[in-house]
Amino acid sequence: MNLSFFNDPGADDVSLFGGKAASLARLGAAGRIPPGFSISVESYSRWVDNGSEQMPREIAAEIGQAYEVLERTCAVIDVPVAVRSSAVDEDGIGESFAGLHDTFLNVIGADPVIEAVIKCWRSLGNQHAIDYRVANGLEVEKARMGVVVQQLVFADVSAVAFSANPINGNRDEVVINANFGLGEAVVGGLTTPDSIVIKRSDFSQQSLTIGAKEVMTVRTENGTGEKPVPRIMRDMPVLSEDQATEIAELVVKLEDHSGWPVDVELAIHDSQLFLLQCRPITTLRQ
Amino acid sequence: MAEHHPEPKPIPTPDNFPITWDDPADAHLPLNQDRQHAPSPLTPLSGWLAVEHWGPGSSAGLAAIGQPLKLQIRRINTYYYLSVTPAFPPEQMEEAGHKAEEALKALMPVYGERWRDEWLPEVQSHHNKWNAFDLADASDFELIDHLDWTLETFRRFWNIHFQLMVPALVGPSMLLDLYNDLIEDAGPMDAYKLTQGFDNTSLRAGEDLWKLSQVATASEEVRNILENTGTDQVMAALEGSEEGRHFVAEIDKYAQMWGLRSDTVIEIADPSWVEDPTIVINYLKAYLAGDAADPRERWNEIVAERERLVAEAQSRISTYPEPVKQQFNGMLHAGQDGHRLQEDHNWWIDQQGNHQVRQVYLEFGNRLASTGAIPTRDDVFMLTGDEIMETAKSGFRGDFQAVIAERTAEMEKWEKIPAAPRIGTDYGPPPDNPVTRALGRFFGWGPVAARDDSSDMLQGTPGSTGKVTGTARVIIKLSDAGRLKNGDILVTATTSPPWTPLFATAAGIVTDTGGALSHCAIVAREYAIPAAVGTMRATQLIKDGDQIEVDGDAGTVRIL
Repeated sequence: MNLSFFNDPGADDVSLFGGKAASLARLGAAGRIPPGFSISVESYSRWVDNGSEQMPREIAAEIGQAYEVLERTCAVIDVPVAVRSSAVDEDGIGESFAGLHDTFLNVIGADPVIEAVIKCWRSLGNQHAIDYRVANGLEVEKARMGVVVQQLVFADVSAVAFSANPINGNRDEVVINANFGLGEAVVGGLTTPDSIVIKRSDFSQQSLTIGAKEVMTVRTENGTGEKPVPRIMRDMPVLSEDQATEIAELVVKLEDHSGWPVDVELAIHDSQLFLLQCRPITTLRQ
Repeated sequence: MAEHHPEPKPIPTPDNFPITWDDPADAHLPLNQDRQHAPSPLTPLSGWLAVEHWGPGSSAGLAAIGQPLKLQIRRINTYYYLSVTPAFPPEQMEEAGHKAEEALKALMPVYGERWRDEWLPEVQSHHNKWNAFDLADASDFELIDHLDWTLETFRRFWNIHFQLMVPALVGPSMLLDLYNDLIEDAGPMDAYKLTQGFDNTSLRAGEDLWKLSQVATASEEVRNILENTGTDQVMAALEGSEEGRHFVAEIDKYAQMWGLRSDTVIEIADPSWVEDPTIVINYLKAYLAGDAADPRERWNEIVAERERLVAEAQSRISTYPEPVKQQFNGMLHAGQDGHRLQEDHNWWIDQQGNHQVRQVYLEFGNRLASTGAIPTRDDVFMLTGDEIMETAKSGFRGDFQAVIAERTAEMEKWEKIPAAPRIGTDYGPPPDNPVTRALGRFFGWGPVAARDDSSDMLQGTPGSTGKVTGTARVIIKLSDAGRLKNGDILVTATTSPPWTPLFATAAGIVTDTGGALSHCAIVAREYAIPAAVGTMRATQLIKDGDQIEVDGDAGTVRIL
């Protein structure tokens, strides 16, 4: 099998599609994620067998068709996508491969997607990825890779939510940090976002602290960049009360699903809430 | 936002401007001379009206939209002073401030619609009642009753005025902040261009005046009379011929439509144009001398520029988060409404409202003059409203000859002495919030460069883009505006909507008062002529006939 959509049966199999693809498929079962498909490890092997040059014709045709299906699913012609590496040995919890393999954002059109997929595969050979595997006792020769192709949602509002309070360890508090724009500014801690604390037992809002929100991440010609949040918007709450409640309910569900407190990245686009990533909170005090 | 409470300090006044407070408590008010709305000494009646009715009506309007500010007027040494103070004690102001911001936020998207659907129809219904009332035929009793209703309605007008004008000033001001935050390389005047070129009553009045000048041009005889007869002889000369009489009818038609206004918005002693066509005649003379161009041509240009800048801004933020785009489009709407209503509200409330009150008091003047209580009808403006009412209730009998002589002398005396700009008590700068920021841009508050009397350079606020050199015409009263020739630079204390037609012949404008959101700056931008506003002392330092250079982008004036 060369590729599979996130919601197809078996898309959550790490051995077939890699760690990133499998965790996205699992996430998609718990809430709405931006739609997309995964290119299998088997495709990678065929490409390697063919000399690691051109994309084998049959796989290229399938990726082209899948991209067209994605356009229809998203109802967007030339839908922009993110193309991300999904190595088999980078399975969710445990070793973090963040940044070791390549990711391409805002890729548009079937041919550029195919090119990006090949670049992801090639990034298995990145020197720091090799060093990392050696340092962690992973077998470099056996490393194989799937690739994820997912609609890039241009967030109007981005949020990081915790199903338990990561500051004081309180398991009865959901904490949401939110800012206008794409996720980088809030995930990367570039500015002070709004912070909302919600009581888990009845979803009542305990506190809303309006953050300084000096900057937001926006799309630019060459990707993304930080722009100042207009002054008149800095004291406005980013999330409505309903949106905050919706997020809190979702992260509680995700915690119940996974069995441990979670740290979730979310985006709101066109009034729809999307799940981008879900990880266990590893630093929680008991 | 941290509230600051600096130590209140009494403001010293110049030796030639001593103050005797009628009420000693007034010494604790932060009183600013509002030259933008009343540059000259006020008649006692206009002062009384402002103190007793304008202030309470305006403050009630602010309260109605949750703004915790109190406006009070004082007539000090015949000059017009405005005090803006918190409506509640300091410990309640923080909460009141939060509520005020919420209330304003809710009003911002809808105030344009409220004006159109609710406030304007109400204002028009009051005008209809005024217009239907036959002043000359009314019994004394009916007239007194009508005055009570008139004063109550006047307060209601100013109540509506401030419900409308707070969002109408804050809208453009917030749009300016938002635009400059979003478009980092924006020129200083660009944001103002986003709101220009909308149809409004001032521009229509100006356009109709231009059309009237075209009618005059079409008749050699009429043109000849307008060009070669002194202003006060023009009407008589026109009556002497068929074509002339036809043109008089045209002037009447114009005055009936647009003539219910006079120089400023506080002084009601100045005749409306419909009573005295001098100002219209002067405008026509100026238009003929300058071969003024069709205002529609300029109009189309500024509309095109506005649309270009709006499209450019929208494209620049097309990849920004939706809440930012919504904010921009919302503020664009609020700013454009505010800009348009800046002129329209003035026509319906300030000018026509004053015209109506003036007509009612003129009838009291007639009756007071007929009993000999006052020498002539127009002396009614030298009394207070209380004196007029009391006298009316006792059969219009009294003797005010001495009082009027004394008060006339007082006004003449103070006219020669410039008013102290600030008196009473200084409480430090107002807290920074959207409302005070907008008021600052309207009145021209804020840091002003150090002034040097010996310098040939005056620093004001940028009002309208461009640079021009020309002959200065210092004109304080609109009735004196006939001296402004095509290509001259108008130097004045302030302008109000009735001054708008002058912008068609002036090459540039300099004012003592106002900021970038003042009437003068807005209209100068509509007419695309350079303007430096709020220079404080242009009318004192620039002599009539001086060659001056106005730099509208820098807000400076150089005397050459």
